[in-house]
Amino acid sequence: MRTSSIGTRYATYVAALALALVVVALAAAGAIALGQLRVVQQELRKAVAAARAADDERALDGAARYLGVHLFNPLYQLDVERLNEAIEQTRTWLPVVSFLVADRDGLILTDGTSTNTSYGEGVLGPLPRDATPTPILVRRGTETELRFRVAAGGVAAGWGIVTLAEPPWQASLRRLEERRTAELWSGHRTSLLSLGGLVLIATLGLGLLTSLLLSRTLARPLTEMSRAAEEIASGNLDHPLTLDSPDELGDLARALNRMATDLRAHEEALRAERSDLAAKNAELERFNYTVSHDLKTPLVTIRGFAGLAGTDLVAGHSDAVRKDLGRIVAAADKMHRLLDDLLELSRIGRVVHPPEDVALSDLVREVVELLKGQLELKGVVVEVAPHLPVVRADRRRLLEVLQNLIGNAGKFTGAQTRPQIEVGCRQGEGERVFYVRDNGLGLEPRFLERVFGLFEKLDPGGQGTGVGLALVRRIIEAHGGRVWAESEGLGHGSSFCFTLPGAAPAAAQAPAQAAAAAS
Amino acid sequence: MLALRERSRSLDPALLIVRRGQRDYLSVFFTREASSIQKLADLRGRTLVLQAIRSTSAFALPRAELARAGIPLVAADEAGADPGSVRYVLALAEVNQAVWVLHGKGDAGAFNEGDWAALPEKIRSQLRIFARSRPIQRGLIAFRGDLQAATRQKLEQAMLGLHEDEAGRAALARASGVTRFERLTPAAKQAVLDWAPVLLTSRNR
Repeated sequence: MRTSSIGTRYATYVAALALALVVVALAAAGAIALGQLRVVQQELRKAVAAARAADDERALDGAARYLGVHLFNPLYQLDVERLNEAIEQTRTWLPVVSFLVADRDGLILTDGTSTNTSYGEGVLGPLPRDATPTPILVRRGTETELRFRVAAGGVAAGWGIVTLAEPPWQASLRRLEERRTAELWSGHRTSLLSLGGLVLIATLGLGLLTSLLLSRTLARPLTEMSRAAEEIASGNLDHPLTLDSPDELGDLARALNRMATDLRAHEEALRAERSDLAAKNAELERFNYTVSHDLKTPLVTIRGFAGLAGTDLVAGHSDAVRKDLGRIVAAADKMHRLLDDLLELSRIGRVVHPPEDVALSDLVREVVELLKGQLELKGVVVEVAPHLPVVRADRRRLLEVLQNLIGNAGKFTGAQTRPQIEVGCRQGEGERVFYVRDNGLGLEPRFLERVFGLFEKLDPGGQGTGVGLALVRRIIEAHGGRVWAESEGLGHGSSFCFTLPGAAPAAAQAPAQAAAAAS
Repeated sequence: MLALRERSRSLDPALLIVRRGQRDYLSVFFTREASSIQKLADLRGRTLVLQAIRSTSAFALPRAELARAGIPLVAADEAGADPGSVRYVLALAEVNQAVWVLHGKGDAGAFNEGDWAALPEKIRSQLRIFARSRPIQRGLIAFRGDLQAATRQKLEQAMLGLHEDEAGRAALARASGVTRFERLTPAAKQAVLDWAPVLLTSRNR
């Protein structure tokens, strides 16, 4: 398992804290133990010192008496060399720190060294002046100063001043204490080192464990979320986080996923709106062009025949004037129809009737009834497929669609002697496709799409305005469906198909019927 | 050696002993800084602190110098001595000589100039030198007169070359700090022989 940097850092903090706590605890325990040990040692030393003090004083008194006699002859004879030898010899059985020998005037004769730097100096401090050989004992820290008379047979030769290091027994006791303390320290240090090693291993393990744990629970999810955020920022919204923990990290991951989903939905909606807007713009451009072109034509006609009418009126050709005025009226009517159709077309986008369940069979029958005169005039036979479904739609608009499609089929029969129209429904890919099929004129492939354009008329001499199929497309698309034309070419008839997303399954249909045919 | 030579009439000084770098040395006469003694003659009727009778520099040389000056040296406890003579006491150690002079057990002292330099500073600073002896060789190697010339030559060669190798130098150092042996020059040999009558005369007094 790989550990993360954040995991390692927090693990280090935890391990260092644990290590510091344990080290402080161990040091405190050691300090307390050693403090107690020192108290015991001091009490022991006091007890031993009290027991040995009297013996010490007796021993020092004896040493002073011996030296007082031993040094008499060389001091009396001013034999410095022998005095130095005696001092040197004394060092072999007493812990001498310094040894001064003074003459009867209290002036130092020798300090036992070859340089004899104290020679001639006066002795500071008290000296035993009386005849008794009792020495003076002065204790200074661990040292003891011994001042005694050098005399024999009642004759004084001078004084000796010896500074002694701590007594041997005391030194031994101190060395014993030091050794025991050192041993205890050593043991304690060994224990501390052992414990420290164990603690170090334990804290390292703890640190590693913490690191792994933090990596698993904190750092890795954070890293994944960071990566996911970068993906989202770069526009890639198709990589949802798989983290599903019940804590704040899980909440954060879910929020990120929701944000990605919302962004994706908004992006798709935006893309659709942009596409729709582009299509509408294109259509609007076509519309503008077409409207300006097609509305101009009647105006040109009106203007031209108005001029002719004026000329004919001056010439007194009343019949010609009447014909001119008739053409002007016809052009004006055409403009009127064009404007009505345009108004209707624009209303489709603005006026929406509430959708309702529409039984297509009934609606087709109603349309056929409306077009009965036109169809009968050409002897067209209309066949309606049984079990047409009920659809959810604006009934009035859907009626206009069928009226246009069936009307066109009846209009463009071409040279067909037995014109037929078939209205039906088939199952497409996941949707129902309604169609109005005829065996009439048919369409060249290049017109299959153009026929739905505004003012597109395949028969320039026809009475229509060329708005019908544009109207059909607008209505179908307003319902969320599609419309298109199919034909195998001129003379092979054509089919106009459309879909309606709100089409209900075929049910409760009217019984199959063949619509009435003309003639 | 001079006494033996005097007795046997056959010892011939041949080599000089160089000890601790010194070929010869002398004795100094010293007294307290405040003393009125300024020269050897001022010692008449006073006490001179010497070391021991066996000492050359702290007895024989001072005695010889006094004798050369016509001043007799007698023991302090000698009865009926000439009041114009110098009395001596023996302190057994050079440092004792100095201390005795400072403490009034004698009026002056005499010993080797090297011992003067070795005195503790606190003691030496209270003393001053008022006379010096003539220098004398540190030590001599003499051969018996009837020794075969070849043998003597080989011995001389061996001794003269001792200091030239490590083992020889170590042996010389163990022999009272001898540095090396040198052949006695005729002038040095004559100086030794010049000392003989003085030393022998003062000794026999």
